[in-house]
Amino acid sequence: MTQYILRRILQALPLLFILSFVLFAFTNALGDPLAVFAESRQRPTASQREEIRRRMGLDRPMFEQYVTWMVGNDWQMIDVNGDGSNIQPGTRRGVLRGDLGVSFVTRKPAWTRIEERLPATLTLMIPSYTITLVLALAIGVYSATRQYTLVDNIITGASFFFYSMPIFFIALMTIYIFGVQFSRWDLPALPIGGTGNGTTIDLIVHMLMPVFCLVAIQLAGYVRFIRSSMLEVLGQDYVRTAHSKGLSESNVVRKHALKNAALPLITLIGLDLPFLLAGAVVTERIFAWPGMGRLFIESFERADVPVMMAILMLLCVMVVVFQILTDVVYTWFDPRIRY
Amino acid sequence: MKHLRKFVSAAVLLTLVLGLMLAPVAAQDVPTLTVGFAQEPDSLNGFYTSMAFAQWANDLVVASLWDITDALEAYPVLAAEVPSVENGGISEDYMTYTIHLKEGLMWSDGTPLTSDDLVFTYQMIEDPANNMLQGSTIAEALESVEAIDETTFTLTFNSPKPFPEDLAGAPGLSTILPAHIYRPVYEAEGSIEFADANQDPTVFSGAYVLTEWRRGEQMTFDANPNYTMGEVGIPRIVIRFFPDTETQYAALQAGQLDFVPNVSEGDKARVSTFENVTITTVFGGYIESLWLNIRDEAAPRAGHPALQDVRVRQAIRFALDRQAISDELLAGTVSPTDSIYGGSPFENPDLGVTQHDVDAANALLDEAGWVDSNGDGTRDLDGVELVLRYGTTTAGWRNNIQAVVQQQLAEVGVGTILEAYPASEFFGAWANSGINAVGEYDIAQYANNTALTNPANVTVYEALNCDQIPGEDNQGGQNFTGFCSEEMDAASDITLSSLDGEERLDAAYTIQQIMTDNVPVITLFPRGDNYAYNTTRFAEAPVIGSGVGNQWFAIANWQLAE
Repeated sequence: MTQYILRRILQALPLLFILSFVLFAFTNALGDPLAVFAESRQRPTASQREEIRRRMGLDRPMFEQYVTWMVGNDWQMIDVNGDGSNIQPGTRRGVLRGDLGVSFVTRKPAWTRIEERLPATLTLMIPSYTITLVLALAIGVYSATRQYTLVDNIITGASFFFYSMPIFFIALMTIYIFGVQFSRWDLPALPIGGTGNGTTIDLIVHMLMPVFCLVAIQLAGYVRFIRSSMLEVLGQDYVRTAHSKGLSESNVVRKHALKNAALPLITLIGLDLPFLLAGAVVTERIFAWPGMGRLFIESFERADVPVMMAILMLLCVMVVVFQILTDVVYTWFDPRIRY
Repeated sequence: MKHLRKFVSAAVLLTLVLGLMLAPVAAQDVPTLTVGFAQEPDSLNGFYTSMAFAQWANDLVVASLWDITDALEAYPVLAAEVPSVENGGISEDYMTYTIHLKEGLMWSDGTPLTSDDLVFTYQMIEDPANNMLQGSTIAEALESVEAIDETTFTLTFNSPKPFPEDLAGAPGLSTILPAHIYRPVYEAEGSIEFADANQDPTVFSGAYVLTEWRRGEQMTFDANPNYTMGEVGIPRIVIRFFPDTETQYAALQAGQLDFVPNVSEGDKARVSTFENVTITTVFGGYIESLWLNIRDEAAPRAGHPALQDVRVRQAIRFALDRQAISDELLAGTVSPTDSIYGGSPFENPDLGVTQHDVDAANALLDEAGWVDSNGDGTRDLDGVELVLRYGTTTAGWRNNIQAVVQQQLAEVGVGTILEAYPASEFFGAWANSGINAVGEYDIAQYANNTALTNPANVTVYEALNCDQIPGEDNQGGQNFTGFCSEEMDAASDITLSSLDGEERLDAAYTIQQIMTDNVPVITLFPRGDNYAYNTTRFAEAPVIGSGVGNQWFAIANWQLAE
């Protein structure tokens, strides 16, 4: 097993390297990080912007900027004025030496910006994902064991209804009903935006609307997936055998069917888990939730390449890690699998 | 198994209950003004930001030497008086300012605020190692800074500076750094660019101190007991960040926000219909305009050849019904102007406004030779169709204006191709192939600054100056229209440096006439700064500063309703 994990990690390294270059090229094509100052009242002059650009290394060709991002520039001298009159040593150490760069916007380390936002994202995403999985398992199994009954048809219809609903629509409608209209009707309105005043109770109250929206939008897909997976397993010979042995329905479903139906679900969860770190872009934006999704969009709007690259590379690494973990978890669920 | 399940359930329940019981309870009894910002400030050091929201947040915690009222009058804050020639604060040649601070000024931590802080601040502005976004104007103008005593210092400039309000007291340049915080960083690192205090300041001079900054969510400000202008009426201000304007307006509508700055022109009419919400508009210092690309072949992309002809440019202005744009899209809240000084005190009142006149537009286009010879509904000349690329940012209200302008121009046989870009692309630098910089447009819509407290107009001396036309040898040039008038440049120089007020005003009028005659820019309307607030939360309407100065200048007098 250890040998297998090491081999997978070594295989992932060139992949991460190629990904980093492709992502760097894309993020650099987003535009000028200093362009947002164009309509500011107090904007830097053109010559000052050129100097800032040189100091940030934005005047260099893209490939050279990539090399700096990767290995740093503290071994180079920087021509700050562009005319040789002010030569200063570079300050970046590069990703390979643990320096993810400095945000163009706040001039704080890119990793610090992630650290600021990651807890809020996990606070929102882990409960919503957990609730989604628990509900999806319950509803999916219930629906599969009662195929084509009225309840199954209602669940299927509701699944498609929410699955086809854009998240922004659900989110705005939720705000309008529970935030705005409730206050008009003198009902206890839910707070709009943010995480509250720091108390656990207030945090939970602030989470109600975004978690509801995330669950509503994610649940349908999982329910459909578990239902079809269960239906496939319930038709297998070993399930029939279990029934004929006189085992109870719940025993058959839980111990024989669900455990086998869970294998493809583990693959799905393994693929989804890394993206919990990325947050929910639209939900966080609409509910003013201070998470990673919003950080990415804000960085995108300001062409803040170091922060965007830090987020994207974090996700790439997490995808690799969770894929390896998924493979390990397989062996627990299915003793036949060995590496 | 059953026991285990019960045990786990009980443990989870107990943990949850204990968690809720032990959770800290935040103080809720402090009267608080809750403000909604569409963006989070990127820095609380005014020298490292050009973002309006950051400037506004800075204005709460930073006191200027002097500030500007809603009536555009300077008044002293940290300075004992606004320097002038009459009071001896400015030398006869306008080259030296002697500034006296009030006695007994203190930072929020109780450290004396002295001329040493000012001298240190100006040293920081002048050191390029600090890589500041702001301060270049004063850095380039300064000859020396000298502390005379604890409360007196002098600024010596390298040329006459007749406008004190533009210099040490102007927003953005008025940030005074606490030397006792920044000097150790500067001495250790040779730069304050990455100082912790830029992001997490602990010492303040303004009406409020920052007590908490929850990244991505909100900032909390409490009254500064050492503020020089006395006790404030509202003890706490919370600024919450709402990146989605719909959510922000919903929170305002639901009474969860009290005050929202920067309501866009397109949203103004809708927001003003909210129950208990009113909108107040102050002079913003911006003019929304259509910039015409009249660059020639030398540019990476020349503008449409028709735009080289001033008659075509004039015809486009005649074809536009700017009043209809105001009435139909902006609830009639703005008024058209032809002046590049529109809305400012230096606007020429005799200039007039070009009225919508389709016949005049058609006559000028016919005269210029652009006629619809092939019957396709669009004018043409020598096989070239009069179809213009019309670009702007992705702001929805601008895109609505684009659609209306397209219809209006179509009525006189001028076709348009509408384009919308993210700001980073639209305003990008030459090296990034920015749309404006490399001329990838025929009409570009965005706002320009107008003259504020004096006739020197940054748009004229930066974005319409002959020397600022971008090209391979001048990639940082800001004159994206390519318009060049030596007469206007000379007049602009007068507005910047003449010591004769009347001469400066005459020069401003000359500039307005040249611009009106040559039409490199079609000004649409002066944009106000729109603030929405919940009337039930205020004891009386809050006095709000103009876009020229500090919107919070009178915040010490704001009072919440009982």
